[in-house]
Amino acid sequence: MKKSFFLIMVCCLSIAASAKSIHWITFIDTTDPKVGLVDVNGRKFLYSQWINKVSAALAGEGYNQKVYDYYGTSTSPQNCKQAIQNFCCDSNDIVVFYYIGHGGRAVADQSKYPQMMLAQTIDDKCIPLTWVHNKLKGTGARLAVTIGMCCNSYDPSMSPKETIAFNANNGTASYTNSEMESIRRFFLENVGDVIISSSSVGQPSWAFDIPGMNAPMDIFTFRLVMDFNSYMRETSKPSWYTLIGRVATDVNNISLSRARAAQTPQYDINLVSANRPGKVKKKDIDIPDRKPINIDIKNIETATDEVSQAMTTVLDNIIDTNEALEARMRRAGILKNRFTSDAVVRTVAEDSKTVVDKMSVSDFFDIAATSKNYYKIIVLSVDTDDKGQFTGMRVREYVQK
Amino acid sequence: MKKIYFILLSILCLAVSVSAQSLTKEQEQLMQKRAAQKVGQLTGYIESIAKKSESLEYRLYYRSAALKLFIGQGDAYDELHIDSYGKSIKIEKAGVIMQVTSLNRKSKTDHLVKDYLRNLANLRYSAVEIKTTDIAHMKVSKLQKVAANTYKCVCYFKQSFVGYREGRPVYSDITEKKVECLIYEESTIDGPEYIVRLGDVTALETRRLNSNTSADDIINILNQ
Repeated sequence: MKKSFFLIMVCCLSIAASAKSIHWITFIDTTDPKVGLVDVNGRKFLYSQWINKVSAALAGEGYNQKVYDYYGTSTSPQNCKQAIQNFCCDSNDIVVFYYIGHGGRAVADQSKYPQMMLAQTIDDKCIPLTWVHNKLKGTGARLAVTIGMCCNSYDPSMSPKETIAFNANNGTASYTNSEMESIRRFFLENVGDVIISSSSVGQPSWAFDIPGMNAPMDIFTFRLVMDFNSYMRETSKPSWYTLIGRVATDVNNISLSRARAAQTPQYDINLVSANRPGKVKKKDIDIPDRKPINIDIKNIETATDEVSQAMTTVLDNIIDTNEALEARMRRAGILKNRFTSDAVVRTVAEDSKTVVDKMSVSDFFDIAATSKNYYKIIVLSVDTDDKGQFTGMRVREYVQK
Repeated sequence: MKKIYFILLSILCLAVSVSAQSLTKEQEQLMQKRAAQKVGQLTGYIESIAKKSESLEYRLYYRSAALKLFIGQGDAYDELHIDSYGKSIKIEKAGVIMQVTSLNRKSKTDHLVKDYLRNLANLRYSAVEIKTTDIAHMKVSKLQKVAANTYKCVCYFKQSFVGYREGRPVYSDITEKKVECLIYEESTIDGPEYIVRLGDVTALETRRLNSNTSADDIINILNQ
């Protein structure tokens, strides 16, 4: 009896000491000849105006950001099945799945939610949104959110699915304190699950020209992000019901006026109020070695490779004002030594391409370790020379006050 | 002939004095936002440097980091301008200036920012509380081209200062300030890249702050 009690205590301590994470799993079809460019805009907007911002807000509560960003040719049913089946997390973690692409429903589909095509048109390979949601709910995450932005129209060539019909192929990314606090409340003071699709049974999902963008964008993602941001600014007690209800109304109004057709997002919200998980002590992690790789800097929305994600986590510790200044400066010093003496850090704006500032890596880390103004610094890319030393870095900064 | 020369010269002067923009509207907005963020970092450091509850050693670390936000890191630098003939001229500056006011003095005082920040860490009060405008409420002017590949904008904010002795507020004021922000453009194979550094800080107006003003009211005043 004593032995099993001791073992239970050890397990509990292990769980309590492990870091908390918000996992973002995005599958976005950016290569489709008809809607690829629409979805490129959707992806950039989603990451720059929502995903990274939410991660920045939660960083203050000790949440690391983990991103599984599938776009271009990596958007596929095989990758989606593999990603979801292999996904696991801790009990205090949050997972958000977001799909942008083609979808539809079979005439005989029982679920009101669509199937996702994931950049292909073979019926057998379509994945039901509900399958993803049920899998993610089953991981025991504190909060599981599944969002599908795709048509929910009837497609006679589709057959209903509750499970995946094919086998996985193992082959083939300036805010006020009150706004950020509202975001924390929204994500951390509710436990359970939420599933949302951008249109109701039998409806398509529309894209329109958005002022300021060089190509159309889907109205659901646009309204979700815009309504989320304005709602978080206006309320200190955010509610999922209020926000998603507002998004549904706005999307429907736009589709009725622009396309003269209804598009009504639908959702199921199963949440209960909860206290926030306690903060855990920061653990130091190592930045892995890496050989030089080619990076497409024009398409990076957030940290995805191992080195960038590790760097982002270490920076979370460096900017954490709950840590002693000596600890912050020590960590910054260790990280500085991984860079060449002439390395430069570039700060990238929310448009994901404009470099709005540059400074030496030494100055950058000195400021990161002493400033009290950061919510989060996300490392987008790290340049490496052939000796494995880091020669530069691109970051996005989320600054408070 | 003299008349034609005069007209041409006038047109040239007019063309140079108008804010010549090669930035798109979106780029300008991004740079204005970045400038406000840098000013927000500076005001954050000012608040930290003045806070007596932190050790002097820590506050001097903050000073050292804050200087990295400025042109020349607070040391001497060359300021570039375009004269009325379109020619680039260089003016040597001893360092970025921080202008200081006090209700106890009629005139404003200019300090090198590196000296100001050192003095701020050594103020003779038992406690000091400084608050400033939130970044979201800072006003930023349009960008103006001041030299080849160099733009300038001005960022406005308010700062409240309360000095305590033996737990009692003995001095309090609120000052409206403006900061010049220099934006340098560099051409690269991936397109233009920008560097933002802070320049001179000017005190515009100082008035007494009632020592009974609540913290919430102070914040409201700062963010107006």
